[in-house]
Amino acid sequence: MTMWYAVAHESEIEDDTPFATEAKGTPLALFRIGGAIYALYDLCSHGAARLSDGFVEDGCVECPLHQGLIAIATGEPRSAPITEPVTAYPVRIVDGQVEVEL
Amino acid sequence: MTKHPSHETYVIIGAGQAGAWIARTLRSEGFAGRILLLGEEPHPAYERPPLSKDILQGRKLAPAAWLITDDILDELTIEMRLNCCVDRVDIATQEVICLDGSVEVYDKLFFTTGSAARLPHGFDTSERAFVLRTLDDATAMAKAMSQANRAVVVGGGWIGLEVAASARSRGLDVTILEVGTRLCARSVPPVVSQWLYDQHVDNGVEIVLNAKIRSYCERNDQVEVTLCDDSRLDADILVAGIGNVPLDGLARDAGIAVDDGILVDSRGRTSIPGIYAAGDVARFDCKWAGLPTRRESWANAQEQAIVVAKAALGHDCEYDTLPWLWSDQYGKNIQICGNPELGRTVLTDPGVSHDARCWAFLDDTGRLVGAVAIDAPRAFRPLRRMLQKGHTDFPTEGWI
Ligand SMILES: Cc1cc2nc3c(=O)[nH]c(=O)nc-3n(C[C@H](O)[C@H](O)[C@H](O)COP(=O)(O)OP(=O)(O)OC[C@H]3O[C@@H](n4cnc5c(N)ncnc54)[C@H](O)[C@@H]3O)c2cc1C
Ligand code: FES
Repeated sequence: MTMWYAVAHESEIEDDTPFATEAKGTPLALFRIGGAIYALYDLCSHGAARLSDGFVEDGCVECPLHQGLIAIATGEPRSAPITEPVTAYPVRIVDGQVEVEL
Repeated sequence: MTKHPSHETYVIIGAGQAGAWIARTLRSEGFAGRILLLGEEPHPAYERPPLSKDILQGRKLAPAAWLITDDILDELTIEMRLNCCVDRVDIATQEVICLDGSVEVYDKLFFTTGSAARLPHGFDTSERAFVLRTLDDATAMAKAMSQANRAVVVGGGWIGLEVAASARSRGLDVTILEVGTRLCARSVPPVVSQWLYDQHVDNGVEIVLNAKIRSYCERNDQVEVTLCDDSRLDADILVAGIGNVPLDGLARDAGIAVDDGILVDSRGRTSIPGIYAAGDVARFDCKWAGLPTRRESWANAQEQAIVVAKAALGHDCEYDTLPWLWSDQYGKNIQICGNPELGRTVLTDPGVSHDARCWAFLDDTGRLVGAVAIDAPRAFRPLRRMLQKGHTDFPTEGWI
């Protein structure tokens, strides 16, 4: 069964800067693009890198280790070496709190 | 764009990193014909960087390091034959002849045969003396390390340093013998060599620079290395990491132009129409180096292969990605881009944390030519971006 977890305050998530947090022991990277907030599992599907240490560009996060690109909204791979998706979690805002469902 | 009839066969010789990316890209870019990947190793294509890191430290290859799996072969309908060494290519009949006697006819052919570890003069591999190129090399070396107390590493380049770091992490005493005056001299300026030297010494490695080796010998379960000054070192295992030689003999024998690597243009085209090369084995016109260059890096194998596959399908693309490589040692991530070895002036980013580093290298005329960062991806990225875009007027403000 999934549940919603409050993981950050909305004002903490800035454009272009990933935000590292966690819920239930699951590491999460939060992103803000054009007003919307997205949450990805905070581990690159290619290796031992935190996506929250990555770089935001054109709707993707670039991995800090080998420059693979992942679509922030869906977790889909966008460039080599990344071939497997990263889990993207549903996000909602309740009274300024960012909640993630997992 | 040209048409690719589905009855055509594209054969890829070498099921390594570049070969795997050519196969995958041909399919993802719409090639409907037969793709045949031929590999000499018993394993499907994998990434080599974890060999000197994870495998030598006793870990397994992570699932993501396997570039070809049964699922991918099914999904992309790629045919792969392992334990299959290509013996000869006949460009007149467009045939690939394998050692097992099988013959394949190709419409287009890709050489991704990579490179092999160079053996020092008088050095024979054995159960105590190793080079490191394949997963099987790494697995055998890891096993030997688990029973050893002392290792001697010949060569202070990236592979030698990573082997030394992994051996130290397993508690071995390690000596590095480097013939030159500093570490990794071909790829980085002195300030980086010094940083590497300090890291290894701080972690208990003994480094001998200007080490001229006279001979190697195995005696009573030990390897002995004798230097030209008559000093002698004993060890349980010996590892040579003195560079690689491109596996271009197959292409040369077929009549394709080679010169320490298969000669290709920025689209991977060799001297023979319909035949391409990519990865460690290819010597290409590198706009960053300004001369025909062979690059032995993970990023080159991946990016060049992707461009060459697209170009072979008629896409208008050229390989002009900025040189970039990394190394991991003692838990630190080192990233290098451009041609830092051409730098004459060193600037340091004072903004990175105490243990991290970020250097920008400028040439005689003050233009940015390369950058190196240690655990500082955020400081490194703008430099990499500037170089890739050709913005080499470097704003030195804020740098020391
Ligand atoms: C231990 C190690 C660590 C590394 N670490 C890093 C790193 O940290 N960062 C980095 O940037 N780069 C690193 N590299 C370099 C990088 O892995 C190589 O540049 C890359 O693997 C080159 O890819 P390739 O496809 O050209 O060659 P390979 O991956 O070597 O593939 C070539 C394949 O062709 C096969 N082959 C050759 N001849 C034949 C034939 N006649 N018939 C059939 N098959 C044949 C070979 O068996 C091999 O499997 C490392 C390399 C090694 C060995
Ligand atoms: S770890 Fe993210 S691209 Fe390799």
